[in-house]
Amino acid sequence: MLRGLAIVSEASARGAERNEADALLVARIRAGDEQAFESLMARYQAPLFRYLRGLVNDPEQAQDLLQETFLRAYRSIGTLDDPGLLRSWLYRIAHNQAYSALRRRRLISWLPLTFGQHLSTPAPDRGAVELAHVEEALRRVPIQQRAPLLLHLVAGFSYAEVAALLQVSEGTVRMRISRGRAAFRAAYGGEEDDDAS
Amino acid sequence: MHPDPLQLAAYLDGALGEDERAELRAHVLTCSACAARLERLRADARQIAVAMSAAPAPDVRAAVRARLSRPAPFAWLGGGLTLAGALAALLLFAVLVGGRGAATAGRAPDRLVIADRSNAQIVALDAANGARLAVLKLAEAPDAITYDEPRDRLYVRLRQALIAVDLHTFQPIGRWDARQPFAAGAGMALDPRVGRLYLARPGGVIALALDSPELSEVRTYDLGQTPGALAISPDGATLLALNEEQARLWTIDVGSGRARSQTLAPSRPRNGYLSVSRDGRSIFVLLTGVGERGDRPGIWRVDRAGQAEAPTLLAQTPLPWDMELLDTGQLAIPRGDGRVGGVELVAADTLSTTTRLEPSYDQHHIVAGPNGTLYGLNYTHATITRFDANTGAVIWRTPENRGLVPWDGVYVRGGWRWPWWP
Repeated sequence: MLRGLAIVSEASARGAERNEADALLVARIRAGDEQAFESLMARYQAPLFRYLRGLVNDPEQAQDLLQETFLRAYRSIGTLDDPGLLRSWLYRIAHNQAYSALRRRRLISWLPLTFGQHLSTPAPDRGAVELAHVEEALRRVPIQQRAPLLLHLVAGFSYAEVAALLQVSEGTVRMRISRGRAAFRAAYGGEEDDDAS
Repeated sequence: MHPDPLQLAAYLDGALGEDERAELRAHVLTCSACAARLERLRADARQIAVAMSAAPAPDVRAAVRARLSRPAPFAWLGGGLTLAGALAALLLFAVLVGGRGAATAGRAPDRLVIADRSNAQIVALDAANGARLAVLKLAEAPDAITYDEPRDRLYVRLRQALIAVDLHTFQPIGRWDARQPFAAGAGMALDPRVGRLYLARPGGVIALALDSPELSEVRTYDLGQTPGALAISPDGATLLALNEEQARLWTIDVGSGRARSQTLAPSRPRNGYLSVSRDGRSIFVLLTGVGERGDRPGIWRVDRAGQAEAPTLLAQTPLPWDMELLDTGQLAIPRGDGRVGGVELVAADTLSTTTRLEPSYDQHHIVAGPNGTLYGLNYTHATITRFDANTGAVIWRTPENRGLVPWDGVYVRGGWRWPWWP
């Protein structure tokens, strides 16, 4: 039964509704509902993939990490204290996966992270070209700043939520995001786009 | 003295002290160069959000299912399994093997999901036999519905809003409110690849991002007129919009926003529908009220460059109410006058009518299924009829007036239930 659909118009109400839906989903997974985990993956695979891709700059590795994120989530869903925080919890798993992978990559290659070789070939449509430019500029943003920047700007977490997710203070999050913005601007700055749409 | 970029960014994120913030604010209000730099930082944030949200995302569900159903070799030896973990694993095993019979393991059924405007509800039916599976009651009447397979969601257009419905829970998971009501026949076109939903709105088309935390407006395309039917090319690059009364067809380049239009017939009150071939090379436009006397339906084939062939005129009556391309390569056109009509099948390559299914019973909307299956929705008699386009047979029809008045619908393919158990 749909509850209060007509009055659901504010972002906070939507967030609360999402948390409630997530809590229901977690309860169903814990109860052995076969389709609930399928539903969880359907709901979160695209946003988690984009976060991972933004962190590791490699779509193929991001896809592997996404699978690993879901496997770990399934295996440890019993440890999630507040099922309403499923979304933050999934991002945290994905974040840890990406950091481990980046550490491994750094150890193996001895290359600074800003020299990633995985620049994707842009497809000839404008959206893909823009994405490639944004990714290229993001790659130059240090990872400690890029992670909170993506969580705040793309995933839509508040400063406080990012702070809880990354387990640092809110002041640190604000500072890292602002440094990330400045670093992005420095990398992206040469391309002023006057094409208003 | 101008603030440096880091100070401007810190201002946006509330990372400055009170005095520094007040000083910077006063400066920005009087320095146009710094105001512009601040605006560029804001624009960067929007650019990052839009570009990253548009990145195509893979579907990893099958791969995860496969990995979950395959026990890791020697996992029992390596991890220092605790007693609690062992009991949990045993419990899971018992649930999977002992508690689940063949009735729940295996493929979820293909479903037909119907938007019922008269009763303000969305109803899921078993596509094989028409049995009712689930009902979602809404506070407002649904006007149109579309299905997003990669995200496993339905999008339901209401009078002035759009809601997203999770197919597994059959519950709404998101809502976007429009600034003004949609026109009665406002169409939707979905690009699942990049997660964009296009909606016809007064004066043009609006694009919503489907993967941002909330459904959000990302772009508008101003056309100067209000389109009805929308369609999108399979590669997501070209959006088509039709104003049926003006017989005007727009071809819009989604990336640049450049729109070209052409008028196919003199303007008059009429209905109009759009379909795109699977290879994206042909666009089919059906308009009523054309021909020499303006009293016949006609179909145009338009190529991607916008070149329209001369229309093929169809039989005058009963009126057509929809057009859907089937996987048999036929265009299915329901016809009805409240009594008779049937479904006209037109070969998409030659635009010649091949047959008319059950002309003694009228139909108003078509939902295309796989392998030549199609469903005729009749909202005056409140029935759903399943046809086989290959044989022309009526497979079944739901009883009349049983509390479900089908207005619009989508076909949802079933999938393997998770976890898959061979």
